[in-house]
Amino acid sequence: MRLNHTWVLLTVFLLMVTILSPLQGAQVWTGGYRYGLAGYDGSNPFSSAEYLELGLFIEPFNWRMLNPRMALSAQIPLVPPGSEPVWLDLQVEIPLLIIKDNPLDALLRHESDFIPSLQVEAMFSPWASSEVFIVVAAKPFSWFFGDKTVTLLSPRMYWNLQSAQLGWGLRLFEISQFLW
Amino acid sequence: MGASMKRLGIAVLLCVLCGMLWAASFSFTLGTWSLPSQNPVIEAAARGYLGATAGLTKHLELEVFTLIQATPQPLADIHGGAAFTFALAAPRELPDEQAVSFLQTYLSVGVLQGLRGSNSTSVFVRFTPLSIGGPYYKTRERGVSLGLMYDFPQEVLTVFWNIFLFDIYL
Repeated sequence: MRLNHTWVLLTVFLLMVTILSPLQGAQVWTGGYRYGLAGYDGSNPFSSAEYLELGLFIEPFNWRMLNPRMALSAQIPLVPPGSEPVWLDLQVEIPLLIIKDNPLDALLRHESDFIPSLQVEAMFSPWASSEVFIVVAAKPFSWFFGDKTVTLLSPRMYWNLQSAQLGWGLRLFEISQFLW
Repeated sequence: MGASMKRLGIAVLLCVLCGMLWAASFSFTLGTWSLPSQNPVIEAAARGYLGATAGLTKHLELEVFTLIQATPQPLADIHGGAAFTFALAAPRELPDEQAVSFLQTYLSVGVLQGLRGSNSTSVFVRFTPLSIGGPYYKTRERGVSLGLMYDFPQEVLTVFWNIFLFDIYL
C-alpha cells in the first residue's frame, strides 16, 4: 500500500514535470531520473539497513552559475515490507563550483565537469509518520558527464523538526540521468 | 582470525602478482554489495566496495576487493574477497586493441572473508546479466549483479546483489 502511494505520487510528479517543463525544442537538458544508495546512523526512526533512493529531478532554469536542481525522491529502506515506512524526500541542489578541467578527465574516456554541490532536503512520510526531517547534504565528489551526474560519498546531517534530534547519514552514490 | 587474514592476504597478493604478469588490462572498481537486512551472515549496513581487476585471458579476469561498512558505524566491519570472473557473451578483450562487444554478461566465482568485525568465511557465485563497456572502452558499468553466497561458520546460504560496479581501466 505504501509503495503504491509512492508510485502514484511519483507518477503525478512526472506528469507535472512533463507538462510544465519546456520540453518541446529545448536546447538543454531539463530533467530526468535519479537513483542512489544511502544509509543512516541507525537512530530511531531510521534502521541500520540500506536505503534505495529513486526519484525524478528537474532543472527549471538554465543559469550559468548556481543553477538549482529540484527533485522528488522516495527513500525505500531495504527491510521486510511494513517494518519501516518509505520516506519522501523533496530536494533542492545547488552546484557551488563548476570545474571543467579536473583530474578525473585523465582517467576516464568521457570528459567531465567537477561540480561540488550542496543539497537541502525535506524528508517525510505522509502515510506512516508525522515526523519531518530537514536534511543538509554535502556533495563534495560530484561529476557531470554531459547527460548524467555521478555523486560519490555524500555526507548528510538531518534534523527532526518535532524532537530537535540531530543525526547523520551517508549517501554512497547517486546517479542522476537526464532524459529530456 | 589472524591466520585466516594472513592466508587471504598471501592468496590475494599471489593472485594480483600473477595477474599483473599476465594482465592485458587493469582497472579499479567502485561499487556496492548488499544483502537482505535480516540475513544471518553479515549485519545490516550500507557498505562500499573498493576493488581492482586484472585481465588473465580473453575471457577471464581476476578481481580482488574489500567491503567497508559506511553506515551505521563506519569501519565497524571490513571484508576482503577475491573472484574469478568469466565473460560469457563474448571475449572481454582481444589483442592489439581490437574492438570487442560493448555489451557483456559475466559469471563470477569467489571467496569473501571477514577481516574485522565479522567472522564470515564465504564462497559465492554471482551473475551479472548486463555490463556496458570494458577494457577497450576504458570504463565498464556492471549493473544489478545477483549472487548466492554460502557462509561456512553459519552454514547458511543467502543472496546478495551489487546494484552497480563501476570499473575505471588504466
